[in-house]
Amino acid sequence: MALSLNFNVLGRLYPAYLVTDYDFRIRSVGPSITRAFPDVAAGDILWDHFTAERPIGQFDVTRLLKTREQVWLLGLHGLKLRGVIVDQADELFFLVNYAPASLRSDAGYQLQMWDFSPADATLDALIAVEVQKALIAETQDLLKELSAARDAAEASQAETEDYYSAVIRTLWTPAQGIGGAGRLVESAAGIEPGGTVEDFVQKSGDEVYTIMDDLLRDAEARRDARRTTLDPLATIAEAALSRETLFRAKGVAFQFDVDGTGGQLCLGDAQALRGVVISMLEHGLERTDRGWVKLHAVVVPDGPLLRLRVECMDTGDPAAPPQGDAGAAAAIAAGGHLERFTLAGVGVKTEFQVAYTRAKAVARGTAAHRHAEMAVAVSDGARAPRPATAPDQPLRLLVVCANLIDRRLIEALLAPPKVALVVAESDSEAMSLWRDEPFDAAFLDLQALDCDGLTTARKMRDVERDAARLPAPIVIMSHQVVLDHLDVEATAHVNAFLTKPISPTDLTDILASVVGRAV
Amino acid sequence: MYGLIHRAVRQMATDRLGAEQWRVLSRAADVHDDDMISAKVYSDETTMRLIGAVSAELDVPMEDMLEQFGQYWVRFAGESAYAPMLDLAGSNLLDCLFNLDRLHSGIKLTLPDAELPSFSVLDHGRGYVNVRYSSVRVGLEPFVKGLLAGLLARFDLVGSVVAIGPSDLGIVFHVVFES
Repeated sequence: MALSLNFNVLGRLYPAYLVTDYDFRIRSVGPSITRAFPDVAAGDILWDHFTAERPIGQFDVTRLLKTREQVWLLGLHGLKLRGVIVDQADELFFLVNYAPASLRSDAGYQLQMWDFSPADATLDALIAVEVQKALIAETQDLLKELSAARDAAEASQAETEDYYSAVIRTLWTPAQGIGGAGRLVESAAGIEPGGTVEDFVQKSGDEVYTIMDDLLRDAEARRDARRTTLDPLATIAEAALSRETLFRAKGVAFQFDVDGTGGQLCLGDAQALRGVVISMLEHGLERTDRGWVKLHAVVVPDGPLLRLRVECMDTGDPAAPPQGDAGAAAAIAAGGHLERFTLAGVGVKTEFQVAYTRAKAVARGTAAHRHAEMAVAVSDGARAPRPATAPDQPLRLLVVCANLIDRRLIEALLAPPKVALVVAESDSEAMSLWRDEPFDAAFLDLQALDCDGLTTARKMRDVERDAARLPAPIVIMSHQVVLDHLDVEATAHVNAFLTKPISPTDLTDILASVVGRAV
Repeated sequence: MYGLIHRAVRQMATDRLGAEQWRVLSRAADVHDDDMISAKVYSDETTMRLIGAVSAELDVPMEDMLEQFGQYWVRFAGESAYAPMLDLAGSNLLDCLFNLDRLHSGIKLTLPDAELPSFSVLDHGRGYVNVRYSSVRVGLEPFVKGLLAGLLARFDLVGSVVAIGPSDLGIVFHVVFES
């Protein structure tokens, strides 16, 4: 007997469904949608707009139906639902199988297991992602704990050294009597406590030297034991963030020598793991001869391109950079486009000539503590500095996006006079522009008409390398669902990611962070 | 077991004994910071040694300790980064029990070395549910009893859990509650 797909059957197979007519007027909703959105009712027109992974017309049903899986935006609630669309006579069936985690804090929007089709593997993927997020969060916590323990141990060590140095002064300053470790010496030497310094010195004789030496040796042994306990930080971090684990977590992939003398690390799309990476790298910090710059080398395993994370510390040195984000950036730039640094701790111990392309200082901790992240390239000869747009001139941005809605949104949000947009709809058009003109940054849609954004990014880097141009920041735009599943290695050319649907705040924040100036 | 279990044990011990006492007992049990990596698999022996150390320090029999840890685990998971996952399983006891196996299958994708138990709802009615627990591990029934009690608490239910004996495929637990 054939299965008759009535609403009762549909509700059991796909409880989170929506049915609309071709005008997007809701005709009926499944039980899960009713539970999650009790105010949704038949007859309502709730969809302000929808979008899909492929650029299609906003309300063009014919083109819409060419894409099986899509993301719909519920305008009234700002809710994003992902699912499969099915055309049935004059109706559209939208079978929901994903709601972003960010919405789950609102109980009203929470989809649960029952809301998924039993045959839908999306649920397993969703759970796996949640586990990965939790593991990453816990790993970050662990690294923070270990860093704090290390700091505490170092502080304790300093106190211990101060203490023993005070003890020695006390011991050999008779006017101050015997105290602290002196009592230990008394005990070790079998001297009756409570005597005078003179008694103590007389009775202990030369033995006091031996005992003091033993005490100090013990102290050093305890200090070394603490260090032994804490030094495995890198080992622990390596185990916790092993390449295999992180690939599963779609995070950072890296290999890192425990002794810090070499290794490679690919940041990839590790936005969520930035804190982890910083913690890792702090293990291998070394101050340079400039006095205010600390370098962390992050070697992307792709030809000569390096991505460096640089930390600037104000140390009171007259050569230190001025305060403030722009100041730090300016100071770095003033230091020359070509600087010579010794990379140590992380990366290979080799001198590189690095050329700054941008420096975005992000306040972290205190106003005097600036953190900068920049892309650099290993010098293989003279390189033409990338022409930086003067601060009083609009930023030149290349936007490669075939989606009309996104394009209009970006144009509306990044209007003159601060930004001059050049828009390309295709990879070929973008590459032509990129070859001919300098840009301060590029925003690439992951899904362009004739090429995906990652491929375009790689080609842009090739152009920069061939032309001896310094790399400009590249930002990839896509839905979080897609970004979550990008291959880490494939994102080596990308500086940042912008999640769609695009929000004004995210757009301007990311732009400011990659170009190093407010927009 | 995965290190995330160790982290929960550590949190429970810290809550009840304080951080300093935890430091002392964990060192005595030869458990260190590098045994706290959530995504790393440790031997069951390490896990049990850790729980045993807490049990001894609290002067609670091991069986009771496992049960208490089972209850604590549900609360810990519900308040930690694992909360969204637990929320996904359902908003009431029955849904949650029905969905546990599917939840575990998703978890297994990320933690492939996890030896996760299976839970089957055998029957249920007003104020009760019979659940069959099966696992490759033995001796964790008290822990499971605690888990089920923890789920009762999670869904604001007052009730009790008793093991009503082994079935062909595992141990059956009878969960009763005021409905």
